Amino acid sequence: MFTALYELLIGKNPDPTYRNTVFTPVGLLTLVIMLGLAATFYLLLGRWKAVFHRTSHWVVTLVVALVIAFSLAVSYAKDATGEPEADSYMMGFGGVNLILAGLLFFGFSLLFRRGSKFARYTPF
Amino acid sequence: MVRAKINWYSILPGLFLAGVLQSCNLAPKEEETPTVKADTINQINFFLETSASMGGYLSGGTAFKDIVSEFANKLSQIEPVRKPLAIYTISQEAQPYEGGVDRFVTSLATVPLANARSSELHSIFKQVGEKARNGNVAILVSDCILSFPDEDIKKNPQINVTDASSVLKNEINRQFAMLSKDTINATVYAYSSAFNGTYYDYQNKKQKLNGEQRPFYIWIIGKQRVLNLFNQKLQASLTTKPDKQLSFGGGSTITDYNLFFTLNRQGENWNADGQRITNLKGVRADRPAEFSIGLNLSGLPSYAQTEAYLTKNLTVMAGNAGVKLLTIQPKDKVDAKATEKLKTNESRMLSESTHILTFKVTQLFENQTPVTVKLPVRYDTWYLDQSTMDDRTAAGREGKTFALQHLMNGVRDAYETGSGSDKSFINLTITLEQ
Amino acid sequence: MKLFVFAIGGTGARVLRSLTMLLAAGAKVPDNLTIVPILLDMDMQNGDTARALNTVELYRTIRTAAYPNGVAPATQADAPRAFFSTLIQSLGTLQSETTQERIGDSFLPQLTEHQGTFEEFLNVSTMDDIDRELLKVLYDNSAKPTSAELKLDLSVGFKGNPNIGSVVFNALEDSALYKYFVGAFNNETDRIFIISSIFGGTGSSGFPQLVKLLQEPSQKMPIRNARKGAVTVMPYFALEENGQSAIDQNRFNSKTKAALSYYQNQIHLDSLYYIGDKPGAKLYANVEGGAKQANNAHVVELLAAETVLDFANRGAGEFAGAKTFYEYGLRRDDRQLDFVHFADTTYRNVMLPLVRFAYASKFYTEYVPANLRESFAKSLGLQQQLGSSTYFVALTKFMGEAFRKWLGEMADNDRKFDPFNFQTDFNGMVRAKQIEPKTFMGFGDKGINENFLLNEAGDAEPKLLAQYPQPETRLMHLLMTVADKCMQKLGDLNRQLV
Repeated sequence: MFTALYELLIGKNPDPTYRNTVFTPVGLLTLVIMLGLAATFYLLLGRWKAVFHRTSHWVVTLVVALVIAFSLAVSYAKDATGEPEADSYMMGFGGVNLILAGLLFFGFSLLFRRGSKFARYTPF
Repeated sequence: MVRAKINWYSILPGLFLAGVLQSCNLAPKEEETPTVKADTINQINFFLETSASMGGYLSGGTAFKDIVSEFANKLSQIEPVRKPLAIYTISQEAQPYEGGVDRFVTSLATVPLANARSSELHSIFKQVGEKARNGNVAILVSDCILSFPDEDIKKNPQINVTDASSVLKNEINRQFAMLSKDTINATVYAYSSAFNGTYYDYQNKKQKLNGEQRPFYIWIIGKQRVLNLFNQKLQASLTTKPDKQLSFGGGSTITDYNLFFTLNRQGENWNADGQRITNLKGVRADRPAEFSIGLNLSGLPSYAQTEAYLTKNLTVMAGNAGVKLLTIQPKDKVDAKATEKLKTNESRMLSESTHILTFKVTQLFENQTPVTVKLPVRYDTWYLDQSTMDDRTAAGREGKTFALQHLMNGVRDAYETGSGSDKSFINLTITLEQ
Repeated sequence: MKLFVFAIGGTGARVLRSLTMLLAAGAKVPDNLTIVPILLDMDMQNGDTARALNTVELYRTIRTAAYPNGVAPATQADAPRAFFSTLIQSLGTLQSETTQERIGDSFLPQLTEHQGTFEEFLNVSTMDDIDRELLKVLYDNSAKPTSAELKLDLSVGFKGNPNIGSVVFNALEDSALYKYFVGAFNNETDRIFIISSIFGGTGSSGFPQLVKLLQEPSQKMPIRNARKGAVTVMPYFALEENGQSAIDQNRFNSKTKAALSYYQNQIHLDSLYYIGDKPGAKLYANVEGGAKQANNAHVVELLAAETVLDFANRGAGEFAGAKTFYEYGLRRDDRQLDFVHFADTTYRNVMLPLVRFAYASKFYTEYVPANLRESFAKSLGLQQQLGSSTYFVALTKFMGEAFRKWLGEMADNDRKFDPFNFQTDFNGMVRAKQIEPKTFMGFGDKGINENFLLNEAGDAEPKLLAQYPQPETRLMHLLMTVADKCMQKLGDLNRQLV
């Protein structure tokens, strides 16, 4: 599923490493991390105390999520392919994963905010 | 009150997480490839046969002395070795030579070492073989003339001719079968040298030779993994290359290869995936797909690594597909421009390979079809030409060794047992998928 | 149980205002109580009356929206009543057997259709000369156009002249209002309570007339048998000297004495509450009724309002038959009062609910508008509705203006009752006890601060969501929950006089 998604957006890389060992784990990890971040924001902190629940906090979390998604994708790809430097394909992959992470985080936000106390209307 | 202030302490865990993700290696590391794994050699044991028949090699200025002393020298320099080089002389029982390499080399040049009684080759191999176990490597320098003991010859002067192919060959076979069972392999280097001294023909009649070129052999016996490395290092350092060479055992069949995904690539759509090529749907004669695989043939006998040998003997069998082997290139003949562009993964694949095979797919009729690439085992047969069954005349023994073919066949049989004649150096499968 | 509360004159109106505050705060009353306030005043423009009316109307608006099916949550054991829990109904909304004439929805039904002077009311011009001369003996008919009794404009009340009021109230029996009341009173468990002053004009004349009507032998049985009570407010303020005014405060005490002796013999009620105070240093403006008669609230009115609750709280068995007189006493005669000055019942039934309501009002009018972006506020729709929806606006007016003003007036009066300081934070709101933060290096209990309120409101609102999908109801419960949390933080107040 993730492979198809990534290849649709950034095209195919001839190196099968991407298909075999990068796309799916990175996609799943991104999914899980976004799930975790959203759950932490809404269900953990958002139910515990009103300390980190405002839209500004959400934006900070989103930025962290995007940074994680981008660096996760790039570093994972670098590791898997053994490249010493990230190439343009990896940057593209990081960018697409960043967008994916943004959408996922947003989606999970909509999903989880009902379960929150203090962040039910965050980000809007 | 509107709180625009951000609680920085709440953000820190997130940043920390990001940092950790950035720095740690999430991707599973590719396993280090074992091809260049350095197996430490426990000890190198150097045996010089010193029966009386060896004397002629050692008298006067002979190539033998040069080669053997170089060998001893180079052996003592091979790394990594845990224990220092051990030198033995052997006729009937192996005798440790206590003087060290330098003295041994000097003594080769001056003092005649070979004066012991004649010995039986299979008993020598037995003793040498014992010193090739447990990570040791054993080297034997010998003229490799198969012979019954003196008494038997006196009873039946023709016994060496009549029974070499049965009794003597079997004795040899028995010794190597034990080694083969323990995946201890053997490589034999053939040299020739001037011979100044007494030559014993198959009837044990003495002839005085003066400078006649006689072949001699250096056997290298050891565990397969150790031996390949050892051979590589040794051959790289030797200045005098052997005239001929033959490997027994030769390692297991090569089934593994690297499938390149950009090197020599033609066709956009196909995907390289391990040992499969997928998404070959659109392949046609005018829109072919070309791909390369990298093979590491360093474990093969050197004759089997030559382009000529490969071109002649490699067979490609495609199922229901049009597949053609385009080129066979030793690694260093691959276009440098192409290799420079390679990414790390492919560079590594290239560095692991010694040869690059490039294939062209023009048709694929089925969803999935295997392409089989085979290189049947073809032992070099130079030893047949270098074998004689009558060494009584100079013409009969010129450049030849008495009953060498029976000796070699005995060894060869030991390594071919069970694997039959369809044994391959290479037997690999590439699956093509639509 | 319905309690018909006749609030007569300006004092009646002021006590009704206090009563409304106490009911809003959830002072102790029976669960099923309905209050039917009937303001009796000739002076339709009276400032005190108008203020009381506004307060009751706000109360009604808030309660209707907060408890849509009319039922406020039942009181849990030991817990205070819900805010605005008691239903306040106007007489006109009740079913009356004699519905020949509707009297409208007002809490201040028209007493008489007459407009003009006392002279005109009596139709002096059509009288015989003898009758006319008799009247001149009984009433001052001097040339002074403003203070001559017969020349009094009745639309501003009786100006402290019971001798005029009693004549006018004699006509009460024939009024549409009274007939409607008689038709609507059909249940023997319902009760009647009358609030009046003994020293004014309208109250002192209306009260005996009303009681006389209620205990007439020809009166219908439910009314005759109903438990009746009254609070008589004796003089508790002094007026400024005003030579132009017809109200003469020097006659307050003599009028009181005369009235009391009359009550003792002629007024037959189950419970009769007396309350009064030595006038303080603050002088009330001497205004002859009208819009300008808007006297500041006084703690006496609050305590008079409590008598209504006390009467309502008494079980049917507590009325022994003989009439009972009650007087109010403070624990100590100080000019400045705090919670500690009141007896335990007042403290428990009235004062603690007021503290709770004060927290809620501060939360609603100060914290909430500043934190409309928080989830609980968004969930309640406050971001859009706080300034526009009738309910939220009414609640803001009640809590932010009416309640504060009422408290402010009591705080500014003499005897002074100033228990709250709304100028400071939540921790300091109750003057009797400052909530001390228990913090160590910035951590720990900071008392009632913004975080505390946000956490409590944020925690409570989602829990209330399922039970009270209506934002209006939910807000009311949220206010109570938050107020309760504040009360917990506050803890017990000192009850020892020092």
